[in-house]
Amino acid sequence: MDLKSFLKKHSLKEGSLVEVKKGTSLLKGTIVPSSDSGILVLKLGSGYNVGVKLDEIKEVKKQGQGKAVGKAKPVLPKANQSLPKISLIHTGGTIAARVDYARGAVSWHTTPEDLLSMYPELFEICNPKAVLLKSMASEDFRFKHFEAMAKAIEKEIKGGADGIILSMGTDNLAVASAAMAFIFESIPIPVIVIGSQRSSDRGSSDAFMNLICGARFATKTDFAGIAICMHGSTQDDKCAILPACKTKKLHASRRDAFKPVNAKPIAKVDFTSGNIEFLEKNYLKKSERKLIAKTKMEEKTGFLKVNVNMVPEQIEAFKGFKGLVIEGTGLGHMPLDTTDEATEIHKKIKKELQKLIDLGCVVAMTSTCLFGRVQMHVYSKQVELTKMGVLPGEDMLPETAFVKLAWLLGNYPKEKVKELMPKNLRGEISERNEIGEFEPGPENG
Amino acid sequence: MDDWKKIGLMAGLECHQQLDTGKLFCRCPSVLREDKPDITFKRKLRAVASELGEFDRAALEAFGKGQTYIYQAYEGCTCLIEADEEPPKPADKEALETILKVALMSKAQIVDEAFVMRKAVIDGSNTSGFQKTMLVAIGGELELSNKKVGILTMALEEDAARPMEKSQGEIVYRLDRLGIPLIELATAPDLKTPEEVKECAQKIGELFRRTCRAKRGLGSIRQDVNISIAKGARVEIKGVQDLSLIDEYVRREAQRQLSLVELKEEMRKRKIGEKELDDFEVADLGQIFAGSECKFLKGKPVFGIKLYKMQGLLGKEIQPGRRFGTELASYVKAKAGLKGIVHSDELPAYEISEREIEQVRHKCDCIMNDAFVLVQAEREKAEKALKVVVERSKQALIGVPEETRDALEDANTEYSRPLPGAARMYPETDLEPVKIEEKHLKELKKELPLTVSEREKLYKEKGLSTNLVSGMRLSNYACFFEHLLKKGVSATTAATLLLEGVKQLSREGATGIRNEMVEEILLAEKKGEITKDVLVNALREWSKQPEKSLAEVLKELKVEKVEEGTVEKVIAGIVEKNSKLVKEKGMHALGALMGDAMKELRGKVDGGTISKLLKQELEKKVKK
Repeated sequence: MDLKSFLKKHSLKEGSLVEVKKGTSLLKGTIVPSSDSGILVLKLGSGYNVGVKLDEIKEVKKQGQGKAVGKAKPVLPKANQSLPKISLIHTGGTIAARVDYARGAVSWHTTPEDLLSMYPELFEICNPKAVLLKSMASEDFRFKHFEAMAKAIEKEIKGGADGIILSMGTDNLAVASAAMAFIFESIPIPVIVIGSQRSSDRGSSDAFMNLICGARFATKTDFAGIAICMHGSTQDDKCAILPACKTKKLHASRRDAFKPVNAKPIAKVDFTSGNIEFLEKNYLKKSERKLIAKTKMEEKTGFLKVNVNMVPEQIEAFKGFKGLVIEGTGLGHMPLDTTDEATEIHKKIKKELQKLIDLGCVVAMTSTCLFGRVQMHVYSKQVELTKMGVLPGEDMLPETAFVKLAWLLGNYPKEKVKELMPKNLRGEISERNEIGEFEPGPENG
Repeated sequence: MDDWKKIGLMAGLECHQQLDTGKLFCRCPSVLREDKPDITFKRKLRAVASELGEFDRAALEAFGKGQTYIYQAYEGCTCLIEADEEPPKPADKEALETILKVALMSKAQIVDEAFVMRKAVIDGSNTSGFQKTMLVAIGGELELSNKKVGILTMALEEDAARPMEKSQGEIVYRLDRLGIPLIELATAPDLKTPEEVKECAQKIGELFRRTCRAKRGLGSIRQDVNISIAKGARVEIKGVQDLSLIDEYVRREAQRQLSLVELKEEMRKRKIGEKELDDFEVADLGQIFAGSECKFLKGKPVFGIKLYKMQGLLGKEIQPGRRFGTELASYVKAKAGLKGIVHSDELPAYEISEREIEQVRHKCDCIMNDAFVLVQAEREKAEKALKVVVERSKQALIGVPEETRDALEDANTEYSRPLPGAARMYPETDLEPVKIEEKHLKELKKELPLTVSEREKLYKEKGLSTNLVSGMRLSNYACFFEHLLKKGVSATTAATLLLEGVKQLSREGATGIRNEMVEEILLAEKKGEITKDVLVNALREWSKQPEKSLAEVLKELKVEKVEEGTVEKVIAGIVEKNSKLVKEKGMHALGALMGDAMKELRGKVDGGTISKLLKQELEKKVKK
């Protein structure tokens, strides 16, 4: 018998309080959802969940209705109208995670009101408003979602927001931030992108500190533009305000996963004291900035990572694409030379790449090293790539180059795209790199 | 007092045993470190709602303290998982099998699917803000000399980080202990006397130790005792480490509850009510103590309140050496973070003068048998602390408050936090539930450890001395020893090597000793390749260079096997060389020649054989 018919037979449902006899022992608990149809899961009075095989149950007695599995009703503190208005635009992700019984995993059920009620301190810093845009994981983002985020930001700005906190999953947080940076050619207020690496249902969540520091930065400084606010180190002491186009998630799970690449943090926000220290003096300021948004992005934009043993089909796959960003090796290399029999195939790769470019695809080169700059004139091979029409991505992060190319193709004619791609528009390319920038260890950022 | 039945004593035990396996949810070794930490980092924690939307009482109280936690980490025994920077790994297989064996040994019902739960703990002892724990079995029983005691639950959980230092607003924890597997066994409240509690704790310890996977040493087993008397309430005493005192903790808690019931009755008699206690004003006493002789009050902010008609009651002894005033002080310590209080029943003392006492009484509006309590702190903190004093005094009207208390070394206890509610658990979403299959249990049933009496019988049969029997029967080596017996090694030699030799080597600081080495050395002894007297030496050398084979180690020690006939030749040579001595002394030369022979043959042949061969050789010579 499966769980469904078992429950039906004994006229039970999720939330029923039952007493079950297994062997010689009695188990009393509330029925909670089970992910295995052969197992009844009970939440015992002690708080433990245990699973009992249906065919091991000798007796079952209904004892009434247990506490419903649900969440507390959010209680919001009173807003102070004299404080800066901050709109919290929420798209999902770990920052809003909670337990999903049915799937036995983390999911994104929390509403922005839940978020606000969990962080009453926010009401002392600003006059917050919550907007529920999406409840999704950031790995599922598509350009359409970037457009929706941009529209939501525009709406809030027009509605009088003094600042925006955009919360999302962390996987594509840096990519989405870069996209926002390109979309908003000019923006009069700060948009601080936050996420969390430890879900907000746990006591050790980094969500709270990221949110509070983000709100402080948005309300206490003259910064205008897009920036990321995440933990600066594994400690709960300071958050780093990171440049939207030059930040990468460099760790799968740590709080301080987000590091500036070929750049330094814009600022640091002290969680305890609230002090803000700017490390970058040359940041965009609020004064006299207008709102200009270009939300279109070219769907036919591709991304290719160079690997050992590449085959021409990998390039061929992008036939018909308007743009392609290549993540090359080292200074921006890919296998093109033929030195022996085994490398004969590289001729074909070269041919396919040339074909792609000749068909009108804009191709830009970045480096898998992340740190450092693509050099298109050092080795003969790169000179050749340049001749073929591959554009240098300079010191741009590959993902940033990707959203930049998609955005350029969405908004400009091809010749203009080729002109703008290697030029700095939003801080995505730096002219010079400081010696101290290359420290991807926990203390940088 | 001794009529436990009359006062309705009820007690249950909750024992936590560390397991000598890898850590439960990461692949770090379970070792405690005393050297300087490699990394330290700071964190904060927040109270969060459980899935039923409730906040846990204990969690909220800890959060209210606004603590910063400093964690000490080590390369080698802590990783990203202890640092709460990576999701956990599935439960350690050996630890899981150990608890399943304990469950089978005590006839408990094992669940079909065990869920790893997050138990909210917000005192910082877990970096994540929760302890991971899984209920593995329910029911089962323990046999005491006079009764059977029911087992409620058996859970496998991770140990918490070690508190190293506490100061205002900060607690330092060491992460080495975080994640060491613990079996938590909770009994039913079937224990009715302090002696039963003690016997039961011993039985549980024995049950764990039989598995050969129980860690040893101070802190490796910790007992919590749940105690109530009929007119009292359930109180949980946390962290009793000294088993020999466990009955005394029970006696003193029963005494405390009785005293609190008496206090309640006395307060009723005096017609003290909540309303009367609430009627107070916090008085600023700083001026009174501006030039005081009392060092800790002089020139500092001091605040106080009146406690209506409580004179004499604050000084009431509720445990040996602890008064109701001490109880108030421990509440203030835990809930307001102050060091303590000063109350009128302990004065004059601390060089506070009679005049100052009079002034305080006046300033606090004390008349007749009103008492006062004062604290040294800035106004905001002082007000919080004095409110705690009033709240606790109001609780005294009801009698015994339900709470968690910390075990003090002298068998007394002090308040630590409210009893945690059931709301503090929700499923660990980063781990799949553990399915426990019947097939697996059947296999484990075949490997269950022997009982203590079975072991005693077997070891005696194999010729172990009484001493070795008692050393081995609950040793972590017992299971390995029994495995060695099956291999046919000498029981006494093996037991001596394990209980004495290995112990000696670890005192010397040897760390590389593995069971396989011990087994190989003992098998070499069995085959006659080496002799008993070099076993420890061989193990010492081998543990220093574990990459070598035993043969290589023995070669270096010059104790490799001697060829047949060599011993006889060496002995004949010695006798020959000393023929003059032999002629003079005859058989009496044995003693002198034995020394020479041992020098040349140590480790290759045992002393008995040398002596026997030497005697034969001498006899031959003398007869000639």
